[in-house]
Amino acid sequence: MGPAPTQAIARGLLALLTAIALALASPAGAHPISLTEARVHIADDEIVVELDVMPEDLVMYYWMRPDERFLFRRDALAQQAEVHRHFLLRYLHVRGSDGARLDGTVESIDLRDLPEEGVHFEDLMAHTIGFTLRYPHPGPVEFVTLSQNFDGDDPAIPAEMTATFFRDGVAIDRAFITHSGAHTTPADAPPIDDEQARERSFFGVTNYSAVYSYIYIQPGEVRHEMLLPLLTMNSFFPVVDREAERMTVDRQREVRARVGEYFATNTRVLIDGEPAEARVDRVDFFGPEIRDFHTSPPEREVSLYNARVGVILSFPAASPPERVEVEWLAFPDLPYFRSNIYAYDEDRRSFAFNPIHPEFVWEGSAPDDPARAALSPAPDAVPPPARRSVPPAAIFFMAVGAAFALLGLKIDKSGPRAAFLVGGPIAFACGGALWLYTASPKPIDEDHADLVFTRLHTLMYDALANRDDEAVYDALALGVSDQLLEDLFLGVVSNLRMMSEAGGTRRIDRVEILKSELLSPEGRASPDRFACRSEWTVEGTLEHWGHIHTLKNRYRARFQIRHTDEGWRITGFDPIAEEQVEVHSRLRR
Amino acid sequence: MFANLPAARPAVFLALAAALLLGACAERDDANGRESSGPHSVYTDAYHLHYFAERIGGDKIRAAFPAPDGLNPSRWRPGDDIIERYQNADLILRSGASYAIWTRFASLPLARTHDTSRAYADRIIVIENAITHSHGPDGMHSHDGESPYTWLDPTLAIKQARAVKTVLIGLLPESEAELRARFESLETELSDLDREIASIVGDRADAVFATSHPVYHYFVRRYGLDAVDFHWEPDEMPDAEEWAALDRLLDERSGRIMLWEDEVIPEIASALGERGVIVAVVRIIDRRPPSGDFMSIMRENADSLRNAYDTLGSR
Amino acid sequence: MALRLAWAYLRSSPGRTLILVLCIAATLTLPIAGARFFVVLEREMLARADGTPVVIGSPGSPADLVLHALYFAPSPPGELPVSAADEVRDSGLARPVPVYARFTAGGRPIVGTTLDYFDFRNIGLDRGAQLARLGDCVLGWEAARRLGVEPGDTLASDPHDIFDLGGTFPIRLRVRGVLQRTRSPDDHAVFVDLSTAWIIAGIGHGHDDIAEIDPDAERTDQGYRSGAQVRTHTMITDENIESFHFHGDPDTFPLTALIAVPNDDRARALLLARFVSRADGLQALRPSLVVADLVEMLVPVRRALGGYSAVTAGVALALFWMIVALTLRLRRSEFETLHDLGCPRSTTAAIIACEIAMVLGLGLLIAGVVSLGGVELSRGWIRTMAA
Repeated sequence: MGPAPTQAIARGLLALLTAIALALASPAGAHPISLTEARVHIADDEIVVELDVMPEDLVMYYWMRPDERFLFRRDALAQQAEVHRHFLLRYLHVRGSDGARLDGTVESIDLRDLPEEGVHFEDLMAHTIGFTLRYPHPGPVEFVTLSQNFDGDDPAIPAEMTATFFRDGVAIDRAFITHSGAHTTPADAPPIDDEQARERSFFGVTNYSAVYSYIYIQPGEVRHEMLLPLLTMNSFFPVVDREAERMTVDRQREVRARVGEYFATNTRVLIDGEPAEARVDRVDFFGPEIRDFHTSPPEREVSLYNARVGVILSFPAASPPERVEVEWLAFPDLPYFRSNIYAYDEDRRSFAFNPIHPEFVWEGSAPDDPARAALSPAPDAVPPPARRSVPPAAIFFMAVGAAFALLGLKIDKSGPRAAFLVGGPIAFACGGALWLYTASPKPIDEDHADLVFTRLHTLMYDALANRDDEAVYDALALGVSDQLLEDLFLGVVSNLRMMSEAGGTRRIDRVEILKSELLSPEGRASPDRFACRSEWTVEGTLEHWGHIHTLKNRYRARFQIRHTDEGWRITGFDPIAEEQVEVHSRLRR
Repeated sequence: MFANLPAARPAVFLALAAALLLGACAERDDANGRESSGPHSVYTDAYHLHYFAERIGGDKIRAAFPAPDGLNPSRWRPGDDIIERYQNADLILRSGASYAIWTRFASLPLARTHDTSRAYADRIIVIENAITHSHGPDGMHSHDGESPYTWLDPTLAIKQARAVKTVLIGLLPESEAELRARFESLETELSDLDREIASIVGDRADAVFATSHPVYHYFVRRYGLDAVDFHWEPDEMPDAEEWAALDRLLDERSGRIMLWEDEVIPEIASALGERGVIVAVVRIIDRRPPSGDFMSIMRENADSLRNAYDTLGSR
Repeated sequence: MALRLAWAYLRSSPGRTLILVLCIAATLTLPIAGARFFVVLEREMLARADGTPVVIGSPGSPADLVLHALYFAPSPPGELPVSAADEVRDSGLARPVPVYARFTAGGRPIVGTTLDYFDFRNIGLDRGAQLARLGDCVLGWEAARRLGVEPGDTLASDPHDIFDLGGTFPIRLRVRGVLQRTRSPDDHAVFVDLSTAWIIAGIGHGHDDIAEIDPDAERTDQGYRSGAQVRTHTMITDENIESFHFHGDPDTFPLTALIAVPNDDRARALLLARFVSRADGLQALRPSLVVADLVEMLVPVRRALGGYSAVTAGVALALFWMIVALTLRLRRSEFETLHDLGCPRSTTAAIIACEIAMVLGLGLLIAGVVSLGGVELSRGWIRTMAA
């Protein structure tokens, strides 16, 4: 009385139940779990897929019946495998660089894993049948997109496929593909275990079938950047007919506003407790070749299967946010996504948005605003110009000289008369010369000029930290004046507008004056104006989609500086040279 | 001779500059013909705005409302001379909502003309088919359905008064505190009045069932009344057909208060009395009242309404 | 002595002297006049531009837009909605001065604007009265003179679209006044209220009340259908003024340009900033910069003229020198005689130098008077040219 009889009974019952289930199941309703494993080999002009299918799939799809020993005969399975090649060609979708489906052939079927005596009912998932499919590709392979429909068109239980992509025998990507999903891999992706190369190559956006979300908390705004596969978005917010497979430029234009509106209405942001209004900065459709989402891509038709949608929303904040709540309202449209949050200069945090935790809350303090500090210039740093004054000595000499000369005219004695008449004018002339010397404008000295210029230069760049037109102007007006003020201001504004269109954050981190030299004045020297030539570098960052570009430029220019009614101001500016010193990109940790 | 030159030059320049300045000043006054002395002139196209301007501006401004007393300021057509006075005003305040029709045809300076209804543009009531209305003008189609009597809703009147305050502050920035204080006192009076009328109506909004003229849209909306408009004049006996229409309405409605623009003649009063209809005189104050002012008449309106409600309640 | 002898010589053959002087004058007149012309032209163009702080308009050529706003060039580059004027006013940064100039009357541009324009340009009335209502116009000084109309007369707008059967008819305008002479493009324009300009454009119109003239008219959802003839008014009178009406949303009614007069430098900068990369494409321009660019375009023309003048002058000089040299040879015997009479060589040289200087001087004088005077006399024409 061991366990054997129990096992036998159990096995018999299971077999009976299976038989009943199989008998009852109608073809349309039969949706077994299909688990397949694919190895996708990318060659220069073809794609070869090695697909391991479990015998269970054949049993399920083709209603195969086991014999009395619950064995599925090997030859029967082999026969069905032959039939299954059509199934695979139909429901396995391999797409090339342009996202169009490729036609393939089943090159071979490998039955070596099947035991001679057949596969026992219980071991249907323990063996595999290998199919090798070959897909010739027109032109060099740049991208491969894999999707499968093994569970029919309307699945109750998804068929799941694990796929590994190889290039020259090296694994370059791995993906888990379910019904309605698709996965794209660039042919030139670095090896899967070389994390650093992958980050360099993809700017952190390594997975073509994942949803990426970045939330930036900045002094002037909260920004949400989202990147998701077009196919994913199409599943909950249809913009392309699935049959059409492609999205034309016209269609992109047509739906752009609606897509923006969808994300704007489904993202609720409270800044310091107040609801913030969403502004749609950008909605872009990226082909698979785009890896840096910095600028809007050129408009072109994209494939539903390998394109991605980038949406940038910004939420303006009147003052630097100290508490930000972000809630994603559209569950279960997007059942789950992970977001990277970058608050000011803090390290990255991560938050998984899901129906149970749809809201992320950040609390912290804003770093000091450089722009605000700039609004109160230190008065001692900008001293007024040296005043011209008439020295009392000059007046004294002149008065005495004039008096002597007059006296000399009155005196009759020839000796003293000559002395007075000669000495008087000499004294008068000396006084006059002293007057002329002191009153003649003395040019500003090097140190003073340097101090003034450095201060004004700093003020000029500090103004760029502002985002609001009026604040920019007022800050700029502290360092610049005259027509140059208007010209520079409009330049900054147009830059700000472009920046908000590009949807990134630009920030000036460091301005360093390398050298500045006082130029000898053209024409009359004057204590209240001077010109100088300066060379300086500006280091700035441009941040978006989880990574930072750092730029460093060197400039050379001539400046004219004048003491106006409001104080020292830059009034003229002639650029001489501009060169890029450094540019690099990195992921933000 | 030459020695004189340098000395003469500054004097010549000074004289030239002075002449230029003088010329500029003289020309300026001459060119725009505006009265430059005394307090700023503020012209309005509606009586209540005139009242608001006077209340808020006080002696800092010279408010003017040249529409003759006997005419309807909405339909009045000023002559060229009056239009010229408007043109030369420092400020022109318009009531908006298609009120004074003449302002559509007159040339008024953009910079000095302000439509004070813009703060509540979304609250303006548009009446369909107003163009075919027998009293209505065939004016601009695009605006013609607007009901102009916004000030009968005290909350809109407050908004309008606030707009008057804002433009007056723009004109007299140095008197901002004073203008603000005066506005606040007006605002308090208007909101008190609003509360008072709301409390009179209370939960008996259906007591008012009819109006003698379609001029109460804002009043009716503000206090949730449900009244049917007639086209009756207080000094003109309606004909039998019109009385029949009233009788039919009385059969349908339980309310018995009818709003009138003025006291009715005895014949109408007795005919209404026979039917149990109570008259509440709610004047629309579209012109300078013979006695009192905008605010006092608004209070009289409230009193008249209270009496009507009291009479109805005592039955 | 030398001077007197030289003068005597020149007088002895007046015909030859005259020809020489005229040759010099003719050669120099053109370059001097040309140089002066460009100076005047630049000054005229910049003066008008400097007096117009900001011009706002539809996207398109900045030069076209600015020239239209400044000189009412008849084909405006595009239109912008009148709501832009409200936007400018509501910003509190500037006073808006709308311009809608599409049509002409007697060949003069009809400028639809508001009274603000006269405040802005500081133009008063020479005679008559200011615009009072729809259908009124006031004329620039020059326009009134050329058209021969006076306050109280009427002036019809020119037919502008002979293919539009829908009925935009010329409108007879009531001439109310004539503006002071400003010696600017304003002198040549006919000013009407913005609404009047819209009537001329057919955006608004007035006609008989259908219900009045045809009581049987059938009222449909769209309006009246009637067999009676509905007359469209072509003159706005006190009687029919209330029949004039506009169709559509008044905020969308067109302007061809919008002049903005900012409160100060800061307001100007902020106003300009509001028009940087706008969704509706509207642009705000600084006329002084745009016109300066245009003037810059004249530089090559100027330079070419300068080069041509230099060549002409060079050739003329060479010719002149040749004539002098030939004359000297012819007069050799004369000089010999003088020398024999005891006249030193230096005196002879002085006489010749004086002769040459006199001819050149006279030629230059005539050229200067003719060219500068000519340019000065044609200043008015240059002003129109600038436009």
